[in-house]
Amino acid sequence: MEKFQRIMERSLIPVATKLASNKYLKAVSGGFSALLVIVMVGAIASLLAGLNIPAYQAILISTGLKGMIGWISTYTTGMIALYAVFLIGKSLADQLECKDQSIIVGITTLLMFLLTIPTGVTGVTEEGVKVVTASAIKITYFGAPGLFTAIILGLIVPNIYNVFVKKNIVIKMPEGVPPQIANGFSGILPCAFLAMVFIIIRWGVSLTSWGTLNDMIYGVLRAPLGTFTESPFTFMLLLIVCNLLWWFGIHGGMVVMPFLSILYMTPALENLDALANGVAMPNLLMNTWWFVFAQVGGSGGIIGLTILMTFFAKSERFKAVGKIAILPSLCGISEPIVFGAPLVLNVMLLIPMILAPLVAFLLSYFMTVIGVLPYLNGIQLSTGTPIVFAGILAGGWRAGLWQLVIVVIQFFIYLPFSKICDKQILDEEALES
Amino acid sequence: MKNIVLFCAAGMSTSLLVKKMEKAAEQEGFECKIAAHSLNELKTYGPDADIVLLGPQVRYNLDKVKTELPEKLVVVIDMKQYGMMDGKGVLEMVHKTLGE
Repeated sequence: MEKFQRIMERSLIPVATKLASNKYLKAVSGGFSALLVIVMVGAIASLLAGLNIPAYQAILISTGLKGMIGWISTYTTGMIALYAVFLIGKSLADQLECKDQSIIVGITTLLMFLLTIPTGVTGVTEEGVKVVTASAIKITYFGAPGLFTAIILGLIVPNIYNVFVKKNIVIKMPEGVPPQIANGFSGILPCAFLAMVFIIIRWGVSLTSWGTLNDMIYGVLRAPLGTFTESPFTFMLLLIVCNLLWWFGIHGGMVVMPFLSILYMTPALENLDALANGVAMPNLLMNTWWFVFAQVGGSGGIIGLTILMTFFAKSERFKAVGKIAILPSLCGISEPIVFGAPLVLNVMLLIPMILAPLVAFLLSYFMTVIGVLPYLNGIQLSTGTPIVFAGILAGGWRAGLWQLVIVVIQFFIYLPFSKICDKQILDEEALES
Repeated sequence: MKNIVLFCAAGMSTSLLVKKMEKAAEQEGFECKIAAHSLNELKTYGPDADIVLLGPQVRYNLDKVKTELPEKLVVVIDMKQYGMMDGKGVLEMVHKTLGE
């Protein structure tokens, strides 16, 4: 065991530390976390429009409210890439030398994103009329399918911009010109250069069978990433890494979250879209699963353990920590347990800490595949949403109830290990007094 | 009045500790401002702090925070005290570090 600990401390921890402070991953997770307000409002609208109660739906449709609420989803989750490209670009710029101009860099990134989308759309309007419009942009590119392009551009464009700032290839203003104005001017050269590059890219791609940069990136990435994300093993790997890091007392979520967002946010948004439009949800696995089914009670899946400690433990320490930790854990915050029990470097509790979230995940996966549990709607819940309520929001009463079942599963997985631990502490306490 | 700023990943679990610290500070009549923020907001809230405390789960950022705020006192909160949400204990540590 000590050997394992040493090997991990030498291999996993430095890698994780590097990942957690990697500027590209930080840009992605920073950008996505700033998106939360847009995603949440969109999700609420989708829930309101899609709530499956016949009488309620009849009223919505007859009053025309359904369409109106739908507007909100269309312009939030339906255009998520537009917000994301700006925020990721800005978030990366914040970490580069061009950080004083990060908003201008964000806008520049947005421009490059838009530049790659050709005008001209043929389609059917909301009223069902077939139209060909020359001066229109296909909003599909603004939605989940454009998210990959948004991430890629958000990570490339600021770097190119930064070269100009670093090498000082900018239009300089004389002393005394207010910095806001000077900054605006200094953005002209890099932005113009980038625009040149991107019109050439757009032209180049238009010669291929993909036609647009978005279709190319989506076409190339969605299929392989899709196979990758649909596999429960990918999700399990992220879970194991996250909880293993927490066992070392390191915030595993911070390391894993960028990957979870990149791989599992698009499927979630696709489901939200489907919910708003009243069609069947396409994706089983997505980032919503993380909080709702896998890490119930936070990292380590510890609600079961807090109950054991609060109500069944004999040692003073377990009882005390349990009392402190039980309410936060119901809202998905596990730090009091992780550091208080502690789970950190606690050999006895390593196995259940890894196992409880995995078993909860696998059973939920199985129950969804056989149709007992519904597909989740992809709502983006933040930590802090109470258990059961989170489940109901994400998948209705069955998902809410299932969260309670998961707590029972956690309880029994932790039971034997917690008992041994409790006894050890009790013996120590007896020695001390 | 001392300004104590805590940072963790999202500022969520540290805000629990802030509550406990505030209570402890009130009991001993120690006048201070205590707040919790996400590490992403280090540049916004760090410079005004008299002392910066890091949650143990983000302790690997210590060196970076120190380079970012070279003149500040930066301390990682003890895991045990953090887990027990021991506001009084952490406040004692703050006193010691501030040399009071």
